Amino acid sequence: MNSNMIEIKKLNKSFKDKLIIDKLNLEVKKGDIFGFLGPNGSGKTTTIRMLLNLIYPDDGTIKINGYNIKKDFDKVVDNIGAIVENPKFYPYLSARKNLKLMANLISNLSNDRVNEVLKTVGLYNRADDKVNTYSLGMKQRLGIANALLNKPELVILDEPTNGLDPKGMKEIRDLITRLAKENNITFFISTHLLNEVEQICNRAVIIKNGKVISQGNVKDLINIDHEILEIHTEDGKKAYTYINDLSYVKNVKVTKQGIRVQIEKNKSDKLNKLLINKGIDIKYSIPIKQSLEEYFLKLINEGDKSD
Amino acid sequence: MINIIQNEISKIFSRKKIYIFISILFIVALINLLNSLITRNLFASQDYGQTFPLLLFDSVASLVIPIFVVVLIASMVTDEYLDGSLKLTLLRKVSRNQLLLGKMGALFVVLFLLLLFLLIVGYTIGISFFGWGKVFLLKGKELSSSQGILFTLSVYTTSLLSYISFGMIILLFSVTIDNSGSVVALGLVTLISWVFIGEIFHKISPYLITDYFNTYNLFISNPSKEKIIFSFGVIFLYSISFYLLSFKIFNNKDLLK
Ligand SMILES: Nc1ncnc2c1ncn2[C@@H]1O[C@H](COP(=O)(O)OP(=O)(O)OP(=O)(O)O)[C@@H](O)[C@H]1O
Ligand SMILES: [Mg+2]
Repeated sequence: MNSNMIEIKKLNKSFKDKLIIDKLNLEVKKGDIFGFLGPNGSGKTTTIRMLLNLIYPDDGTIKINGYNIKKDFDKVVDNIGAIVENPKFYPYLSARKNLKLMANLISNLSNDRVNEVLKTVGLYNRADDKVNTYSLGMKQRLGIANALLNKPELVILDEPTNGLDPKGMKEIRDLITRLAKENNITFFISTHLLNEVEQICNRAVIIKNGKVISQGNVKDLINIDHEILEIHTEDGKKAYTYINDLSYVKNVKVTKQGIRVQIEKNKSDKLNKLLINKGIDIKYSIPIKQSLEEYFLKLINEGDKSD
Repeated sequence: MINIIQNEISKIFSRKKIYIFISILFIVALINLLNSLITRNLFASQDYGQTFPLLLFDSVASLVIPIFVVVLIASMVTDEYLDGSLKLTLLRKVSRNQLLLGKMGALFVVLFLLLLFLLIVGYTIGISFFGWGKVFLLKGKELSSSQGILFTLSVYTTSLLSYISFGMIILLFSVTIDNSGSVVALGLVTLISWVFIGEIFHKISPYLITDYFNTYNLFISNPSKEKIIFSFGVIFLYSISFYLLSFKIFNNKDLLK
């Protein structure tokens, strides 16, 4: 009936009058490996905390699996596994003991489940060591093991590869893709690493200052659905007024040389024609090539300027 | 609910603190023993084994055990919140109410075990060094042996209730203040000032929870029914009101760690 695993509508959250999450909307579909991409301080962890009822929104709604978590969090929590910020455990206990305590809180769990998840994340051989002797990578794995314990349909991971070396990163990413496929788990993964999204996610949003600045299928994002044109003209300001409201124009700025426009793909001819028709004298129209990385950085920098 | 309590107890017994508490109680028992041996030699006073557990309790009731309560709750609630592990439980099917109740349930069990330990040590030391004795004789009060045992048990158990009640005040501090050092400090200041106020203003003392830490005096005075009901009422009211307040604050709190 409902193909959305997560539905966030107009989510708002302030800390001490500072708006941290600003009318955030997003949808995660069942089966997605969803990338929640944003630079440091953009509000990823804050959003995840709200998804897990650890902090409360000022406004807006969050639905998980169709349930509004404000009322029915107890109906969905069984179905979620999560890491928030850094994976935290009782450091004075072994990994196995930590998981056993967690397993004790889950009903109808097979006795062997703790060993199963320890094997899944490759910690079985170190399971009896105290967590305070663990490396960050091991803690991340243990976090994932804990998140998998209750056989959830949705796993929320906050920067799961943060602080890992390239090999560790690859292992975690492989694990996520494998779990998504084999166990039909929907993943919601926050990260500030674009290539992580490229590698494992099918859909993503990019946020900045608590606002969604771009979203969609990662394929389309990679294939960037926008291009940028540098149009050199004397009539920059005039051109600006003509095209600012066009539906296929995402963004226009008046520059020294003329204007810089961000438009939908394959619309540059149309735009050039229109400007010529309006009598704008175009000297050059230069398409700017961009990689996803540039695109991402640019989006983020634009966010900065609008502050 | 039982599983939450089990987890909390299991964590408490995996850490050093509880063993330090046990050692402290044991050391206090030895000091009491020494003290009794000396006074017996000097004044030929007659401490009997059967009164020793109460003597022992008297020396830890109003400060030592309440301090344990403060330290335990600060580490169960504030420390866990600050080190981020509090949310582990909340990300399972455990409500914030259940979490707090589970922690207080664990506190109850742990205090029960500590008091049981004290009782057993008390009787063991008492009987081995002074013999059981003919009658239960303490501070000029004489009871039959069986009455004496009952009396001892009543003091131990009602005091346990008052500690839980006091614990609810500390719980309020723990959910409000995000620094366990400050929670402990405020807890100690509250404890000591209330004990102090109770000593000076006898009119107020029945309304202070600290007055019920050692119910020895209450029971020894052949209290009326009303007096006993009133005492339980005070203990109960403290528990309920401070719990509800703590819960309300905790339930609305943004858990940011
Ligand atoms: N307790 C708090 N009080 C005030 N501001 C806070 C608090 N917690 C977070 N913030 C602010 O909220 C914003 C978003 O923080 P958040 O931790 O959600 O970002 P993030 O995207 O997870 O960043 P990172 O990549 O560094 O983990 C930041 O500007 C941060 O300073
Ligand atoms: Mg974060």
